[in-house]
Amino acid sequence: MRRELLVPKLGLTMSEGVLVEWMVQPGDTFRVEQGLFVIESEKAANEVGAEADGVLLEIAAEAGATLPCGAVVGYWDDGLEGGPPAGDPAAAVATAAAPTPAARVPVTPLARRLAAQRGIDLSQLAGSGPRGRIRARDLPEVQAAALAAAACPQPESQAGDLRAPTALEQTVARRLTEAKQQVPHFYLAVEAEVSRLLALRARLNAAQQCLPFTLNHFLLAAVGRALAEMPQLNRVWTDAGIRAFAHSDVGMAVDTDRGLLVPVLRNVGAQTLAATASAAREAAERAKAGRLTSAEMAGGAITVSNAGMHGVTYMTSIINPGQAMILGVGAVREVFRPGRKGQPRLRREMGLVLSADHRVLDGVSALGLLKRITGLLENPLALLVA
Amino acid sequence: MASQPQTFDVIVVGGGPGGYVAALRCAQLGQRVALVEREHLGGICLNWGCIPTKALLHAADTLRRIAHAGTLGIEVARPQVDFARLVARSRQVAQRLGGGVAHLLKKAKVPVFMGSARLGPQLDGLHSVQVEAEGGTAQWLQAPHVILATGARARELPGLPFDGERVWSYRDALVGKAAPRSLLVIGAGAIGMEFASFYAAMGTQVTVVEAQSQLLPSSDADVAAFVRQAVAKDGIRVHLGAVVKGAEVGTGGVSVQLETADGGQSLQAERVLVAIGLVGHTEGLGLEGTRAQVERGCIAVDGWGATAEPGIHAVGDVTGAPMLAHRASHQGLLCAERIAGMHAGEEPPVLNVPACVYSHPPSAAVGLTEAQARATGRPLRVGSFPLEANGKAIAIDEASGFAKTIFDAQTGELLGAHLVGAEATELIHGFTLARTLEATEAELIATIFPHPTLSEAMHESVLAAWGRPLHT
Repeated sequence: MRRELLVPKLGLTMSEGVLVEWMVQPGDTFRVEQGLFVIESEKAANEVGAEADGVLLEIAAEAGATLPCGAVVGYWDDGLEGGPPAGDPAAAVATAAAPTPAARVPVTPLARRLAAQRGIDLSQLAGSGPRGRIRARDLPEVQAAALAAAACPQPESQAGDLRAPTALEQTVARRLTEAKQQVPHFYLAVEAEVSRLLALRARLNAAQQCLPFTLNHFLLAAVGRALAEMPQLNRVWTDAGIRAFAHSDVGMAVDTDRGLLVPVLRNVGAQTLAATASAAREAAERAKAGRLTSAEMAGGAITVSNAGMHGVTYMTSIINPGQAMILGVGAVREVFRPGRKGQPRLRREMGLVLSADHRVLDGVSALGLLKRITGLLENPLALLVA
Repeated sequence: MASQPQTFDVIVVGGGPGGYVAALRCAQLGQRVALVEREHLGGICLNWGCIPTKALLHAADTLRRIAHAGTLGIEVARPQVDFARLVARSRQVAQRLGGGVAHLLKKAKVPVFMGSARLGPQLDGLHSVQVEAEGGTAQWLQAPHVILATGARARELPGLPFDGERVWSYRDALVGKAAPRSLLVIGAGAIGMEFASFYAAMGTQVTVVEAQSQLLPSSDADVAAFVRQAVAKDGIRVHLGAVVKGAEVGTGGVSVQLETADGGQSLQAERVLVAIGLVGHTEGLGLEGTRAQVERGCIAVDGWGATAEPGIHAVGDVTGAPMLAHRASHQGLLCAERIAGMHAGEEPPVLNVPACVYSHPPSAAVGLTEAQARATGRPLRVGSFPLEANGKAIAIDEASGFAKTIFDAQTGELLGAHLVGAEATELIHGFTLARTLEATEAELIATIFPHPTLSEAMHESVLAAWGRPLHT
């Protein structure tokens, strides 16, 4: 029986997604749960799996298309005998030509277009029209500045080009704004002396044939170990209450073409350095390929955001929404500091800035964690033993 | 206060299209409702406005068709107009519909009290209304809610009061005993232009004087310019930007002094029709004892028809422009529903009121004129399509006029639509519906308009606005 493949609604706030790629082609057979196509929404790219064994008949939307939830992206045959309407090609073509957008959100054509132009998520709105139909007047007003810009067109050089943000950009913007506005951030900065760490890393990499350890692997391991040793700090504020985590999960910021993504590595404090390195490599690859699922980016109280390779000295970060801390990591710099007798001593320092949520942490507790992380980085052999 | 007052949930004052529709809706929603009417059910619309003028204008159209039948290959003897019968039929139509309203109210079990209403003192949250019948007998009604739908009357021109003989209001023009040799129409709004068209068709030499710079001042400028050229072909003379400075009523006719940009001018006519607008019936209602505000002859209301006095509502012409029957009815519906507890917590709707002029040529519009749309500063897309290129218009010998649409170029919102030419008033609902449903150009373009019809010009105007006309 001919059946439709639809854009799934992958989260409460998802109203549209980008069809990133097709993993099967028309004519291909697939098994239940085999990935068919990849939809990018909010922060994640999600593989959409087959609900049953079947054959892909037709592709109705090309990769790169932005589609509302519920839109038809293609057709497949489930191999079962079915009612005639589903098999009627005319009906199928009609559906494909006019995909019914935004699952069960009735909306006027003008409101739908305005929402797309202003990057407004229609699923978040209450409609004032008949049967809850969303009308143009139900949309939040455009920013005064945008209105003014539209009202009195400025010379091109001043006005710049205006384009609607993608669903991903829109979500990132909203979540970061919320985090920065609603989470009471405070910041602690220290310098870690990493000469021993650099030496250990060089020796480890020289002694093994596998992929090399990076500084980031040590950082993740140090944060995971510190968290495991101080479980009382492994918690986050939620509207429902303070949530404590049993495992020392650590988020890892990954720069991708689609923006910053944060896969969360599980129970890092209980892992060997090699296991952490391997998990981090795989997560980074999946992030860059746009294959992370929402589940892989959920949870954890802390994220490591390493900008050292970009040469920054200190980086003060915004806490990843849903977490309580983020460690901004700067580049290693060689500096002279006065030694015990006042003579200059060469040190290799890494600037660390911990941003913390004051609702669940205070200066003393957060500094305790930061000191422990620093201690592990300065005496890294501890990271090699359980 | 002779007898015990009768108590209702809602008292509607005025039996015109605002009042009687509000009363019917109240009854539908289970309210005990009474209606007070001073003169006749159906109001001005039915008795002295929309309906009887359409009867007269239909006669004028028919006469015009017969006169042009030769071009279709039908030779007809020169038609004779029996003016008295023509007017008599117009009155019959009005009476028939007035009876229809009485029947509808009776069916809905809405008692009708004939007489003049006046708000009395408030007691226990009830508004009292005194109804004084013609013989002087008074009756008291009371209700927590009163809807004032008292309508409006013709505004007088200072120095030229209505006398029913030489100086006409629209009422007098509806029941003329004969077509005058000449008629001076002061005011080129819908009422003025409709009577100008009618009397011109009856053979009267009609001159129209308008203080503003275009005919039909609230119409789109392109429509007004088209109508001006068209009425000239019907023999109507037009003076724009002309202000009446003085007038003299003599035994043989009226002499009116005009002031125009290029100096003064004196016009003579057998009769004058003053159609310079309407003023709300706000006097004698007892509003001064309430918090309801009267501003420039109209009762101030919000989008639900509520005044500043709790329980006192107003709908229709008495609430100001646009003074149109269908807008009054719609206000009446909303007001009745709000009183019955519907729409709680909602923002009042922005009414999307179409406006129609039944002159020759007729015109109709909904939304903004091009000038109003330009004033919003939005980037626009404007398209128009001439009826000269419409097959049906050519076939029925009405190939004159156009459809024009104005869109927001960024959002595709239909900001305004304007039709002039045959059946314009019957066609405008298509664009009204499009605006109510918030259709964009995409839905209008995707809509199939039947062939051959005048409505195809509407579709083509949309295509033209978006740079893809097919038949021009």
